[in-house]
Amino acid sequence: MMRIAIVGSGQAAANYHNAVKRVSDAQSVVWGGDCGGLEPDESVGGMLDSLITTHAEAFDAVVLCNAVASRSDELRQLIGFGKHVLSGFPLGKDAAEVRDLHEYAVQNDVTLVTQRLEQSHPYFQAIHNALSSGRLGAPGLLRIHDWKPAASTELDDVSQFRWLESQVALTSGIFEEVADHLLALPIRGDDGLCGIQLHLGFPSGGMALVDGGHFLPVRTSGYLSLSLIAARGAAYADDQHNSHLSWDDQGCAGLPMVIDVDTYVQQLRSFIECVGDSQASSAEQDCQAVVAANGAVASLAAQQVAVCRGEHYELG
Amino acid sequence: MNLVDEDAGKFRVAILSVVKHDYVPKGILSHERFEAVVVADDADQPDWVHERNRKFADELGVPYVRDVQQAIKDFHPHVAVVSSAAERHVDLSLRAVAAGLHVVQDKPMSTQLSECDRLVDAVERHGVRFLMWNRNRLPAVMQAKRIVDEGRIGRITAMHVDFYFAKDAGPIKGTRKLGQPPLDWLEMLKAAHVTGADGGVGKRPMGELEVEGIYPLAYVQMLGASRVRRVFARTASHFHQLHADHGVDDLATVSLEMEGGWLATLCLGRIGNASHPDIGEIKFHLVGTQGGLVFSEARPEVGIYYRDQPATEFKHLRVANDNDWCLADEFARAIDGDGEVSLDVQTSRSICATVQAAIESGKTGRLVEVAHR
Repeated sequence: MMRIAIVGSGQAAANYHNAVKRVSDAQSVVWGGDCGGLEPDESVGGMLDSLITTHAEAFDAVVLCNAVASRSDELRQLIGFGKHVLSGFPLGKDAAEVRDLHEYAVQNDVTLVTQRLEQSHPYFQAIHNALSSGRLGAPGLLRIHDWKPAASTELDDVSQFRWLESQVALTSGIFEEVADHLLALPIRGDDGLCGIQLHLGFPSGGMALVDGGHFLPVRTSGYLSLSLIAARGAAYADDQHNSHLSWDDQGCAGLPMVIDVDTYVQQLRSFIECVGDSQASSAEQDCQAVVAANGAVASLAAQQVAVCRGEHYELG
Repeated sequence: MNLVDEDAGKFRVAILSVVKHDYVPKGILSHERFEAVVVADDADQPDWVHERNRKFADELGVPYVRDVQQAIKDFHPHVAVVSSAAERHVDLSLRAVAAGLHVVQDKPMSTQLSECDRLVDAVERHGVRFLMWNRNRLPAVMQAKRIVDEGRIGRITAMHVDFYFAKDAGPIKGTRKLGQPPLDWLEMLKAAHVTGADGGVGKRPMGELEVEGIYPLAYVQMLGASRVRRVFARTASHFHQLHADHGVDDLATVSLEMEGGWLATLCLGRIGNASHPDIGEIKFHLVGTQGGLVFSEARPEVGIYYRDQPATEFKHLRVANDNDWCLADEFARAIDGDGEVSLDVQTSRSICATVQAAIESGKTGRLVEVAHR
């Protein structure tokens, strides 16, 4: 039985808390989100200190799901105390920082796993399994629409980097190589930047188009559409297809299904399996994702194509 | 008592070469105001071309004439429908326009942008109407357009179109053995006629962007009412030996920066019969400042399944689809001077320029400006 501390506030932490109940070999013993009541980004440092000081013997692993650009210091602290970590991404601001963290985890005999919620979504899992089995053949084109409810503020730099990093990691996982061409473009609404369109090309000829942003009304669930065109077949998953119909005295509307918890259950199961097998996330892949995300950030700022030149991307 | 003149307001139609899609002339002829009078082509065309033209003429019960100019002179058509090999499109259309005929043309507009320019100039000089055949009058597309026109989603900020045809194009990539010659483009496309997968028939090989790109780009231009400013594309020969042998795409992604500052994307390809239970996933996503739309182009449709159903039969039938009649109707009205067509000569040229820019970007990996007039 793995005893898990969940650190972070907000919906992600709550989802993890609910998901643990459905994972037979895990138990949520501390929920950092209950501590303090501070904003997540500010509170985590305090939470961690309190957690380690007060409850260090009560848990084996930590799920770190606060939203920050870099959590290098927090991770070092947890790894130093010998706690396995399922960490939000990105682990660091650049490849060197990410590589250092992975090496530090190895030195401390700790399993460091990068949280990849998009890759734990049931749509992605089904498609990835079909691809891995060889039934679909070589992947050729990946299309994702990843739309969220409207945010109260414009997409900030941290949110942009996190989203870009997650998408380049996901697409690289599908094509099993690093994109050699990236074009990120801003989608602008009336109030400024509301989304990003990311176009990736891969050396073997694969390609991906991903767009994401806060396009949907507040208090709605998100919208996800994912299709993969491969050499021997294709897979399509779309919230529009998986919708019901509801109506009331205001009218008729599509009713999207909510399958968030399954995503977190899958992520936790994968983490527990990784810890059991001492199988950390690939340092190389995490580094590549950060490098590509930085390339995409540069592309977004310049609205130019970024081309991979070994360890970095150049605009041109 | 008033007598009804059944011929009044009717347009006499000459079909100039029909080696490819007979759905274009049939689409126009689905409208009560269009009447076929002749099928014609040039005498120097190869036998297989004459054979197809003759067969179609017989089906319509009209003469087949091996001389385009003579046919126009003898049968006095008002309208020419051109569905020849792609590299002959503009030549046939130009001759029809020069004779004062209105023209309905199959896609692509041309394999060369300079040819498009000649046609634009000729259509404007002769004051005739030109319609590029398209899918803009499908019920889902029209419903989306109504919603956009009513302002219900506000200003469009992004539009994404998936346009896949789940059709094969000969042997799969990687099946050509060492020492075997490349597949013959024209012969393969001629053989594909029976399945209707011969949109690229002609001497010059064409990729899917060039053959089918007009459809999703026509959606983008109609729904967004903007031209494309700059494109970035990735292209591949991913499925078919035929495309790989000739270095043309059967799979493509395109990012489009639109005049007006909004964005669009296309995903398209000829992805193989096994990749979809019907014709293919065709879908569009629109994001606006006040809302959005996710539409499936195939809908409304009805699912029909039965024991011993042929594998090649689509299991979902499109219903309430009057795209053909609506296109013909808008064309008739445009000839009458009452309205515009959904895809006129200028817009068709603009789309052709966008396709050419995307092909260049696919080869160079660079952003390419679209060469508008």
